[in-house]
Amino acid sequence: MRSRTRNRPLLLTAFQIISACTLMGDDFLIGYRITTQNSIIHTENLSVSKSMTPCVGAKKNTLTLPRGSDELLETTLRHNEEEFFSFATQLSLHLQSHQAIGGQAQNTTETLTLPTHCYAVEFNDDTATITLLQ
Amino acid sequence: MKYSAALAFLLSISALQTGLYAANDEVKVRCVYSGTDGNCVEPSLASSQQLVITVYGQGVAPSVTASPAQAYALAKRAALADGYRQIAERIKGVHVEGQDSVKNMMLQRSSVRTSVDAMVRGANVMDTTFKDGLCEVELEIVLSYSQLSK
Repeated sequence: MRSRTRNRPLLLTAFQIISACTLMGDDFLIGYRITTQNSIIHTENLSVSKSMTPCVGAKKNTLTLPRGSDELLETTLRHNEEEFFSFATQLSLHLQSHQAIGGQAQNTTETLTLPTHCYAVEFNDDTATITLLQ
Repeated sequence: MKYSAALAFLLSISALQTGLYAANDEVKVRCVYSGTDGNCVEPSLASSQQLVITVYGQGVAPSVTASPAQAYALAKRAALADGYRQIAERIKGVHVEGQDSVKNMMLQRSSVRTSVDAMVRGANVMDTTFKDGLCEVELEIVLSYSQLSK
């Protein structure tokens, strides 16, 4: 039978592993693009990729989204597009608009691009916390 | 006869004056830019003031959608894109390019191309309405020197 003092490092290590699994998140690169033609949405593209190298930057704004069990981040973002879009567009949004009027035809194309940023994502049981790293 | 002519002359003068005053009363200043206190301000950014720009973006739902909710979501996206374009046009300006083709002193072809390229940050959605497939989004952006220096 081990003494209490010898069990302490083992308990500490177990606590560290559990806390690391529950609290530490992954870094994700997220980008978003919408194209509209004549005020009708044409394409919508959400790009999510796990960062292969750790992102460097200070933590800025945070958003917490509800998440189903074992749900991928992309699925969570698709289910909560409104919240994520309004959260991300507050940071920066690139706009390109082209309008051509000739004869009787008029064509308008607008492209909204959310620049790809690195986000730290913490997955909990029923939520996902997304923090911008910049 | 003389009395009636003089009376008509006086009446015409008074009617003319009334018309002039009425015309002065009808003159209204259309406030394109409004300050945070609701009063009309000059469309220039002073160092101690904030400039609030409000635009209304419009978007239409595609003809084929899976559900009314999807139609609303897609129309709102398009309306946001239109609203952001209007904000960029007001703040940064529009690049306009016109081209006319003339042959034998007759106009053959005329085309105008406009383009906007900008980065927008800090615009807020104030209100959203959706009716008959048309979504209208009220977007507002507050400009100040402190924001520009960031």
